[in-house]
Amino acid sequence: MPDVRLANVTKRYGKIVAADNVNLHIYDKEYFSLLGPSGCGKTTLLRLVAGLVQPNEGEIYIGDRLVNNVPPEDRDIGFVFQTFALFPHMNSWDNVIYGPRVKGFDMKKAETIGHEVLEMVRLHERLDAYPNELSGGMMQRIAVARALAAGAKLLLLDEPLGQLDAKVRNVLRYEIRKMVKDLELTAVHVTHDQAEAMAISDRIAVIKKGRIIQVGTPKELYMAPKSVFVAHFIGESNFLEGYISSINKEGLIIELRNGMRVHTVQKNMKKGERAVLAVRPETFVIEKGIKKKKNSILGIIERTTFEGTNIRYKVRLENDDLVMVVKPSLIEEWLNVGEKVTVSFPQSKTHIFAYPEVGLKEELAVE
Amino acid sequence: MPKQGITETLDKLSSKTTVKGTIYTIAIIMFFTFILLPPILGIIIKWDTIDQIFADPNRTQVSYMHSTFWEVNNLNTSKFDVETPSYSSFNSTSMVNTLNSIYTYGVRVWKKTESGTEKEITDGLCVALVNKKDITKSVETGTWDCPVVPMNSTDSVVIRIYYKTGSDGRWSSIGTFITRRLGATQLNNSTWMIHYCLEVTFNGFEYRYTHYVGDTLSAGFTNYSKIEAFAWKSGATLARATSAIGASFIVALFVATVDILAGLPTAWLITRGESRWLNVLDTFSDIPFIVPTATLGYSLLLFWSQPGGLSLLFGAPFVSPGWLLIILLHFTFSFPVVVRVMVGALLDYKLEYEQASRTLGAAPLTAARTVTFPILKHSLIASFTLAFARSLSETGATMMVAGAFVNGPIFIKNYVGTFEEGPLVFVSFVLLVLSSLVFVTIRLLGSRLRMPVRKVWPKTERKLSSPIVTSSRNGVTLLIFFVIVLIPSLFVAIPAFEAVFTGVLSEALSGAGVWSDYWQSITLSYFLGTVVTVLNVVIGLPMAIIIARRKLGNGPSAVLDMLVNIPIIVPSVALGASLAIFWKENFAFIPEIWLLIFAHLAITYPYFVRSMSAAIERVNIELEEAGKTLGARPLGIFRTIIFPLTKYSMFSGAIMMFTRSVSETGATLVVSSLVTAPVLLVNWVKSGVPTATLGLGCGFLILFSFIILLVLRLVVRGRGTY
Repeated sequence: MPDVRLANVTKRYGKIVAADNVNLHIYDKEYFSLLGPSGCGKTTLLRLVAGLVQPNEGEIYIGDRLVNNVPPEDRDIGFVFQTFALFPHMNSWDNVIYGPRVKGFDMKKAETIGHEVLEMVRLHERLDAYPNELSGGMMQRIAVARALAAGAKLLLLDEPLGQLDAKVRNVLRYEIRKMVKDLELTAVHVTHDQAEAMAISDRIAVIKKGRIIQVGTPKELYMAPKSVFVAHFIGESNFLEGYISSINKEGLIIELRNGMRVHTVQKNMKKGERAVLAVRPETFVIEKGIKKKKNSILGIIERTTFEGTNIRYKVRLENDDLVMVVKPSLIEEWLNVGEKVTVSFPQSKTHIFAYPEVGLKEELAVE
Repeated sequence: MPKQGITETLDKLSSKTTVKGTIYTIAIIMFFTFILLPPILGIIIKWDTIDQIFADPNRTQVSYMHSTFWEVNNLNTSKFDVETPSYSSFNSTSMVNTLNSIYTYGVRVWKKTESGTEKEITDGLCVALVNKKDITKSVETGTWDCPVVPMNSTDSVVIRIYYKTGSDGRWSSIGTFITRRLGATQLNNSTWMIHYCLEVTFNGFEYRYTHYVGDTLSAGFTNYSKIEAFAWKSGATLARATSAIGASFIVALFVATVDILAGLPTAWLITRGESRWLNVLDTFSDIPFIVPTATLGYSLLLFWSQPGGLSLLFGAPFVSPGWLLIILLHFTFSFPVVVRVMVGALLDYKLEYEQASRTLGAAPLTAARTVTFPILKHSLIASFTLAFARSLSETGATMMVAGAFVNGPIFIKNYVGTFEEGPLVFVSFVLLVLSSLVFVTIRLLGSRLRMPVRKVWPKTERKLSSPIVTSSRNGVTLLIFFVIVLIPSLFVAIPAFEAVFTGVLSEALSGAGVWSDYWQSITLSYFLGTVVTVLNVVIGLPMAIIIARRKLGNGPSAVLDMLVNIPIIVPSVALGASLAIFWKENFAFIPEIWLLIFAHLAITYPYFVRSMSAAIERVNIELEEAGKTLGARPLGIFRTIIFPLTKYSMFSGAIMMFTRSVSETGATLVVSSLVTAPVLLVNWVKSGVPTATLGLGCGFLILFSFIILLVLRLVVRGRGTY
């Protein structure tokens, strides 16, 4: 039963804290993603699980086994590297059955497994090819096949799609997920690409500076971000600064710049407290002309960008705040630069957060 | 028009195709004229002498007593040699008042070793006695049965002529003659016929007896003072030559193998270990690298076999000079080469391959054996080749510790200045060809060599990867490093320090006695090193560019690349011997110092071209192209892009050339009689100079090497280098 538990795990590299008192439970047969900007420590977490790095503090369990002192070869894991790390001096076949071989499997059994996994990644005809003769997508599939052939129930994937072209990436991510589900594996997938994480994961942990910010299903993270950072990192958000001007039954009222007031959802905040209002660009309602509507602010279109599926407007609100609004390009009528518009804030879909102590810019920084 | 500076003018000039072409052509011509062809042509010139080695080893010849002087084995006296004297003169006179007595002449015979010790063969008695009692010129002939006398190949024979008058009966010496090194294993049992060409004249006051050495006699059966049936057994038989060559290759193969076995764990420990002390280990492992091998040889000799070293603990010499000490020596100086190369390779190595192997279930040893080592195969082969070449080539230090053991370089060195050039040419030829073959084979087959990665012994290898085995491996690695490499290398410091606290230091600094030679030789060594370094930078740089940027197309550049490496792999003594033949035979007017420079140029050239071409290859060609699109001309691109990015390699290449030149003994010994620092140290060891003096001599050399290294490190330190 390969569930993975990290209890108070800390890993330091000199002064840098790559994992800061991390507590995490990855369930059995779950497709779990570690998502965060580069340098956030997500790869370190994966390597801690794999045993490629040792924690300074805390315990790591795979199943019921405390694995802190267990070397990688005894953790019964499969690991897919970002660079694939296919052994350049071995052909595809030798790469794939390397695991069974070094684990001392009976050769017949090893070969059967080899054929099975190659069948699974549909690369049976390229057994003799050396890694430098394979395309990126093929190398990636061989790397996955190799990790699977070792028979592990826990698959660790470190940016497994990072080196591939966008189209190949989009196809392969579903293939990997399907394989994991078909084989009933537990998968931990490291990525900095939130779209990828959203598309394939059962649950995601958002990580920043070695700390887990929020764990949840893709939907939870999108619908109910618990912090400014998550609202920013998962999907996209407009952030407007203000303070809580009053509290009523329906929710809070935040006063933005120049006295503009917007009704938001309920939240445990005090009157007068400094706050940040987060609104996703796709949740605004935007209408041509000046309309008297509840919870709306007037504005002028400053820029329009056609993105294919969507059209994106940069709108300067009456109170001088700038917001992005995104609308499906095929359905809606397009607005033009300079047009006066009414932007309505959807009360139930807004998020309100206490103003971050370090400042908004700092909090949102991903580098 | 703005005034153009020199750099602008040169830049403009450099974009002309003819100018570029000329520079490259000159570089290639220089390479062939001064580096590659002389050694090959030298052998071709003397090719006809090679059959000497296949001939009957028993040699008998007529040797003449010349009036010309020469110095052999520390004895500067008259020549005793096979060639016919071309002019006449007397060698020695004795004056007597009357001609009443009978005058008796005789000879005594000694064998003289390389270090200058004489051992008499005639037991203090004059032999081959003749009498003379008339005022005429005549040839008197005496005979002597020469017994069998064992010889070393570097021994020579000394003959002294004595006379006595009938009345007082005391022998007086009237002439000394010495042969060149005979290259013999023994003097044969034969009856020497000694012809004394003598004349007695009367000038009105006194009688003058003259012993002639090359006068023509109008009558008589001989023309000159000479010895007939001078017979010995030549040591330069095929069997001895091949066993010397074999010894070289076996030692080199063994040493290179042990180097890999010991060097790999050391490099592993340095790169993978977590202790801070490993940095120190890393630095220490360079010490035998920069110290001239001759001082290393003496240090090892002191440590392993001389009184005051390990013999203090064991009561007797722990390792006597001979093959075992040679192996220890070669291991000591080639070990750092392997460590250096492998540390570099392990640092460049993408650790993920090994990690992938571990996550797939391989124990550390299995991962290293099936993944890391095969991927680093080229570095392993390169370090093996380098260690092999170093062992094959080293001469100076090897001579110090060899005792009676003879390998290829020592064999060649022993036959320099003997009667026979054939053995020297033969062994040089075989060494040049065999080592080049080995090198080409490794080049061609190395990439096809596959390591056994399919066979795995999971249980055994897992056991061998256990912490206990790992830490004992590290322990043994450290032990080997300290006991076999580091301590013996630095052992010479003890007598050096002793010298500091006795009178030796002030004696050394005042340049008294042997120290005047010492300072002269050091000056010569550093002068030579500087000249050679500068010249090679000039002629090697265009060659490095030709190779790195494939200026002649892929094929020719690859061939040049291989040719450039040949001087590294062939033993420097063989290179020097054949190169010296070429220059001396064809350009006898060239002063010896130039021969020395040519030899050192050839030996050090590859070190610079290799490191430089590798560095230039690492500079992305797009940078050059970017420079071009921005309007830079070829020289400008070199000045502003290539040089700043490769200057570290350029300096390190220069350091390597310089230290290699200062260390070089083999070629130096055979090319000229000029005494460089390592040659002097070898001579000192051979002639038994006191330990304190030798220690201090080595100490200075090590100290200077350190200072030079340090200064250059400071010079090249800076950013943007790689």
